[in-house]
Amino acid sequence: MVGKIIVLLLRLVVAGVFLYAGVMKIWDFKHGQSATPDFTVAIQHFEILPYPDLAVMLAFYLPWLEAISALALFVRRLALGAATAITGMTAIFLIALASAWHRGLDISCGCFGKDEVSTNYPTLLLRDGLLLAAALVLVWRECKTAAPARDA
Amino acid sequence: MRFPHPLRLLLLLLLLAGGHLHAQLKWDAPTQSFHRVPDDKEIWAHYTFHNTGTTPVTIKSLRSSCGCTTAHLEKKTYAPGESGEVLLHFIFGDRKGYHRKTVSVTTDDKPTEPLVLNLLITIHDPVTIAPALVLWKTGQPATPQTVQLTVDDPAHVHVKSVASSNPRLLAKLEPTKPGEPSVITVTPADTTQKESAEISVQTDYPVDSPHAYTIHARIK
Amino acid sequence: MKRALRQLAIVLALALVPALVSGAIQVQWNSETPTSHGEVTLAMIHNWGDKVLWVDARTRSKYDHAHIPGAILLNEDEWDSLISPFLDAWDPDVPVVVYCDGGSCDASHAVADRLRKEYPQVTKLHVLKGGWSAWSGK
Repeated sequence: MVGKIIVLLLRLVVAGVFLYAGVMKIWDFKHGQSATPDFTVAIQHFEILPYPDLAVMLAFYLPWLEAISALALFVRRLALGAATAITGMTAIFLIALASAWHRGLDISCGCFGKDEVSTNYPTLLLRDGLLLAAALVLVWRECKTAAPARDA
Repeated sequence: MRFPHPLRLLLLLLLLAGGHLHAQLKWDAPTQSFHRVPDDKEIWAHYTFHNTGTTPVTIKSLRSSCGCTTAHLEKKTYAPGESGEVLLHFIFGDRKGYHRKTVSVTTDDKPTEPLVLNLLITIHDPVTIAPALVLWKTGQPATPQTVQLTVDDPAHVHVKSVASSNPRLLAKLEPTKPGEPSVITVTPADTTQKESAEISVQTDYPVDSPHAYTIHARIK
Repeated sequence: MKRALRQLAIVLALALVPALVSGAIQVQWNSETPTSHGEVTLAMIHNWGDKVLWVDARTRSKYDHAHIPGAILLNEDEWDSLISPFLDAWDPDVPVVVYCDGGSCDASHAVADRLRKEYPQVTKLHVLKGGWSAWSGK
């Protein structure tokens, strides 16, 4: 019983964070314009992608993936896939963060649209690490749930 | 479930409303102006604030208008009565003239109304060269063109020498009366082909590290 | 495992649809909306036969990482040393188009304004609406 409540809470928190993060990267509410150019710049600050076009493609795709995954966490037939996607995204972002820290880049996150105080790596890594842990719990939970009768 | 006592509820509402009304940061001088010369290279401006409210305020983000201005904050949350400051660091680069740099400060009590800190700075070079570019089109007559070097304080600034990087575009300092702007004449040998030259005008100011100014000459 | 991969594929595909739609809309926006003073769109540049001198007003590190092919770097940080190479590349008959990040960046306007003021001989001077984002979204 307690386990179920904890998992529900984790699901709500993870979904909430990713839905917010996704929406903030799609639309810049403060200025009433698309947030994609800002997010493209934020991705480029990581100096990790081999081609600049990739940053633009990611800037268009990632926010929608975040938002859709967040919502899909509550759809029984998609929850496992959503949790897997979220785990993947969080893990990749952790690696990107660690890499940027190692190279001493000032990336000012770019996690929730455009917000900056000088990059505080330990906090960002901790926050992302916790999200990753929560996502893994959800994946594990979904795997344990009996597959629907129709699945082969 | 028992209904909460109406008076207690009212008191709670008042406290919540009052608390919300009183969460705020007061800024001493959100707009600051400076006059500097290019040699200063950078400026650190202090924007102090005080939490005059009854609840803690957290600064959520500092968004600067350009990469040349960075904002620094020691910590994000300030208790009632506490003071702090945002430090703005603006590096001039090769900028001259008037510049306005802004930093938007977003706090948790007013997430949709950021406060804008203004850094107004005039970077004044006491020496001006005009025009900065002398241009001929190929085939045009090779008439000399003149450039004026105007100085705020002619008593302290003098042109020591003028040198062109290309012998086919010669530069000469013309004799002028003291106190009058210096005049440099640039003359092409001919305009039969494209040429380029950087003409270096060496002054004796400032005394510890005298500046040289550049006139660009092109035949296009 | 199979279930996870199958569901993951569905989620990835579901997200692709709005992403493609929003991408197409934005690229369209950037090349067609009417512009404010001195701004040109990529579509207009195509009408000129794409013969322009691109000027990159961003930081050197962004320029080194990626820039419009043939673009010359000219920013206010290093104006004094970058202006000569710009003047060498400049041709009075070829339009100059300045760009920066796109979105809310104003460096391109700052560079264009300074060029207009100090080098009035550079007459065909424009700023790219949408900046680098408009170009790479192309």
